[in-house]
Amino acid sequence: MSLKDFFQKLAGLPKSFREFLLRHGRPTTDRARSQTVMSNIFLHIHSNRIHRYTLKKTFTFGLGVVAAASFFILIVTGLILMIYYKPSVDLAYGSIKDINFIVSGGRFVRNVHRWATNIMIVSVLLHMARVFYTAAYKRARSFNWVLGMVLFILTLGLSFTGYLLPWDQLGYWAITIASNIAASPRELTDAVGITQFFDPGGMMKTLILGSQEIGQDALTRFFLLHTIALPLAMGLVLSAHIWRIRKDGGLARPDEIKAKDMEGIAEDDKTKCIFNNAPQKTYGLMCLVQGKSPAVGRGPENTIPSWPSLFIAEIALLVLTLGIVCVLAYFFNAPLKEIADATVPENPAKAPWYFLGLQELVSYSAFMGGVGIPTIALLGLLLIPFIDREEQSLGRWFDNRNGRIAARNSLLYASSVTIGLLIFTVKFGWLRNWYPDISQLIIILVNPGTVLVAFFVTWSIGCLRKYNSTRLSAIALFTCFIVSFIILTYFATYHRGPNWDFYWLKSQWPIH
Amino acid sequence: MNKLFKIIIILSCFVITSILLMEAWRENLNMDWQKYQRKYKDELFHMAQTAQDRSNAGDFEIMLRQIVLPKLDRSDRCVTCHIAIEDSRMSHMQNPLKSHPGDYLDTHDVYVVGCTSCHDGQGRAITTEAAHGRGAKQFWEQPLLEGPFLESSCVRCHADTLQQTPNSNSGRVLFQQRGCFACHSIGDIGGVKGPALSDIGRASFHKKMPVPENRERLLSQFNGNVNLAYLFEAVTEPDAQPKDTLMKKMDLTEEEVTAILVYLKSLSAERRVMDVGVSETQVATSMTMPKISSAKSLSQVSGASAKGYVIFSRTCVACHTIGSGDRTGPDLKGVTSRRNGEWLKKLIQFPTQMTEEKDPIVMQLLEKYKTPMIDMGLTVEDVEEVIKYLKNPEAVVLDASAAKNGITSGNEKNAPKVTDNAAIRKGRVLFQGKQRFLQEGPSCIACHDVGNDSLLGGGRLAKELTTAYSRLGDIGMDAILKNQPFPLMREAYKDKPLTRDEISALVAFLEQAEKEQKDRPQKHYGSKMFFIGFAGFMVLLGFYGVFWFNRRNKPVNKDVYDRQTKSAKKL
Repeated sequence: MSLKDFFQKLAGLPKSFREFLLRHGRPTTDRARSQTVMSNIFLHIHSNRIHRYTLKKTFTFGLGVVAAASFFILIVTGLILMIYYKPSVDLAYGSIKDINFIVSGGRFVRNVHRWATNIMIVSVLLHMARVFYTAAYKRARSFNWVLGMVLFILTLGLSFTGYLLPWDQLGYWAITIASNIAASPRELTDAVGITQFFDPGGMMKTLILGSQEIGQDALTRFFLLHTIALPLAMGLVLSAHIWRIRKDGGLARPDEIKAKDMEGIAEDDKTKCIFNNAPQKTYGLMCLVQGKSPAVGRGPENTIPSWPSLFIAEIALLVLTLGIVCVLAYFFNAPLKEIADATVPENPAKAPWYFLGLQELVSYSAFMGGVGIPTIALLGLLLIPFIDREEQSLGRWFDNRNGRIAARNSLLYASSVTIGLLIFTVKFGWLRNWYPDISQLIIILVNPGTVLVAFFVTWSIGCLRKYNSTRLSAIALFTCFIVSFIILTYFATYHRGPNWDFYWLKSQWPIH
Repeated sequence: MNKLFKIIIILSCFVITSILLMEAWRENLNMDWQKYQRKYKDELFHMAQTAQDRSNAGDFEIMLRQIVLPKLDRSDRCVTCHIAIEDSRMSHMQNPLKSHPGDYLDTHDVYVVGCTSCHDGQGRAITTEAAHGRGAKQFWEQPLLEGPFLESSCVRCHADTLQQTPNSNSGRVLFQQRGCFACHSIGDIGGVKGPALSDIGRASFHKKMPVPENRERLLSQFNGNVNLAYLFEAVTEPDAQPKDTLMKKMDLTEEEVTAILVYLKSLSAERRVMDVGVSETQVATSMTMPKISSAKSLSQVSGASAKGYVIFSRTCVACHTIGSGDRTGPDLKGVTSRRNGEWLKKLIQFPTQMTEEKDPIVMQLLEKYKTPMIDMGLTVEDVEEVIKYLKNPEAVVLDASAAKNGITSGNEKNAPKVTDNAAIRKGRVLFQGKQRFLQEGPSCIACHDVGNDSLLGGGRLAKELTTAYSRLGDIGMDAILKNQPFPLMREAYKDKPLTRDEISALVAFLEQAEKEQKDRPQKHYGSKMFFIGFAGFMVLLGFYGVFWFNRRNKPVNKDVYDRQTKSAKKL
């Protein structure tokens, strides 16, 4: 090879590098774009063309994308924090203080991590509600619904394990409460009197903490779970979750879509014209073919290339999430209390906010609130696709008019029942206040938590009778649980003070 | 549609970029400490006289500075703002650029002691607000100390009463004189009616906070130090919280309140042992405490007056002794014969009532001792038991562990010197851990080693003790075993002190071990070593011969190989 050749090749370096990066030419035409999408592992999580209904904003509200985006933000900020964090009882608190005070951008990254967590939990919850109310768990999608439930549990687990790591009073006592919730089957075994032979609660607590008290063992395993085990599991299941959406034929959509549904959604020009005259093609065979004329030069009905419409929407959501998190992180610091001290209990010691609804139930009965009702709720959610097997159209909020009415009535019913029961409990107490010597077994069976569940189940059976539809009955039950979860969480966050007593305002809390 | 998303992307990117820029500016260009250091640098230039000074000033770098003290678990970044703390030229400046007042830094090397050891505050922080930790919203237990309250830090290291700490000294005396011990305990001493105060100086202020009505006023009075504000409220307005407290409002002058606050602030379970040239045994190993043997529960004592003894040592002991002289109250030896029985009963049960009734004897005693007796809330039976004990203080048998308590907390006598063989044997098994210590402290061999034939491989964690006896002598060893001045050892034997017997046995064993070691010079094997090695080598060779004597000495395909090479040569 001559020197001239070499220089010629060298001059062509930028061009060949561009070709190496964009293997199909600039993505300016639909063809180049679709080839790019197909040959790129990351872009090909979407198919080439997607149904226009997918882009309907009021259908998904982009909640899944927001959850995934906050997960990516958490992975990146978590890696940065891991550079400085020292998972040892003696050093952890100091290293968090150092991250806050002297690590460049440390305080900001920690705040982002904290806020992204909260946004992720909220968006995961809302995403679940969206999938439920649009019946998107039906038909082949039941498997993906179960994967979603696994992701939901992993999300809570990740947030929960991260709570302890700063080793401050807030995390320490929140985890104490949570680990006591894990030990709550003891209430049942105590009441039956078999704790000394069989102690599943104690076993669960020891499994979580690695010892009886929160110490180095607990910190080590929480660190391991938070930084390695759970994120790995999350990444795997999340990939499967997203891949399943493609395999199930994209997002759920109604069988019959009206023009009204698609208002304001971008359209592909190529799907507009029925016939596109192209001189190089021969149409002679047309008259031999029966039935409808085949469409030539026209995409499948009501579809649109995923690039750019879908990708730009997703990128917009990702950047929007990041922007919101950044703004929150700039103005609101992540909490960091004093160093953990086993001798100075926080009063009230409150679990992380998303467990506060449970803690309220635990205050009535440890077993029912900590194990019984959550298990019923989770099992119910898991089994919904297998119980409710009615054939119906997917992809519309509350299905139809009946569904909307059932959901609205359930909302009113559940909020009045929950608030009424809370008022009753705060004002008059419960069985233990009236009959001090009553057996704990009775309280386990009959407490505000179980009474709420009983009310909801009755209501849902009533709906089943009235509408003769398992789907409507499921909507009623799901609405009841979600509404009471929100109300209980709010109540426990703002109206429970020291000794879990009721207070209107935080400023009324006594000090001593 | 896509246009909307484009607008969202552009707007969000703009917001993200500006937030990141704002954060970068806030963190890198707008920190207060940078302004202070720049001002200091200007001042250095301003004061420079010679060319050398000017070049020094030019070399001053604006950067974060810290004193790291791993032993004390401290990273004090106070010097980032208080940059001139060691620069005596800056004595005329305003804080934070002022040099440290007084000559304290001459005796307290700042690179050994740090800043927060004395001043408290949050050493890791680099903003004024977080570092000083003032106010109710800062999550930091130890806000900056000022003025007289700095004394409370001195007392945490210095065992003796210092000239420089008048408030703390008089606070300690006041605490005893005013009968605080009657209800409150410090360490093992004092009553159980009030909260124990051993660690009150470090109490997390989120639990101990003035009530809302007082909060703002007291916080501003103590410059945002919540801990002091709470202590002040607790001393001057005991009924502020809880409302139904039994504590009486004490009649104290302003100076006395300050003194007591300083003393209370100094009470802390945390000891600071620093390598400041003072031998560690001289440093406070325990807060100076009245030396009274005390029993916590009935299980440790037996005998006719046991119950009375326990009540006495929980309550009365704060002010009274039996046969050890007057304290806050009179010595009670023989009080049952001096005084009328009924009168005594009434006094023990209702002392305040008797003071109010102006009982002549009580008035006389009050005049002499100045401190009125306090209601202890004893029942009639309790009083009977106490009187029984006062009548016959000898009829109490302390069991072994209680006896030990008495011995190790009272420092009156060193363990008696014993050297008999039984003691040495006992010391050996104790050292080895073949026999456990009475209080179940860890055996010495876990950390220490001694050159002794009877011992196999001791620990390497702590010092080798073969020559310990000649280094330390009887008294030194005794003191170490009793008080454990070394941090690790103190941790290991906390609540598990050695008894007097054990100490003397260990000392006897170590003395003996050293003697034995000295008597026996190390063996020298000389050239024997070489011959033994050679013999071993020959034996090994012999083994080879035996095991491989019938072994082929050429490869099995040697013939084939030879044929090949031969034929190759031919060609």
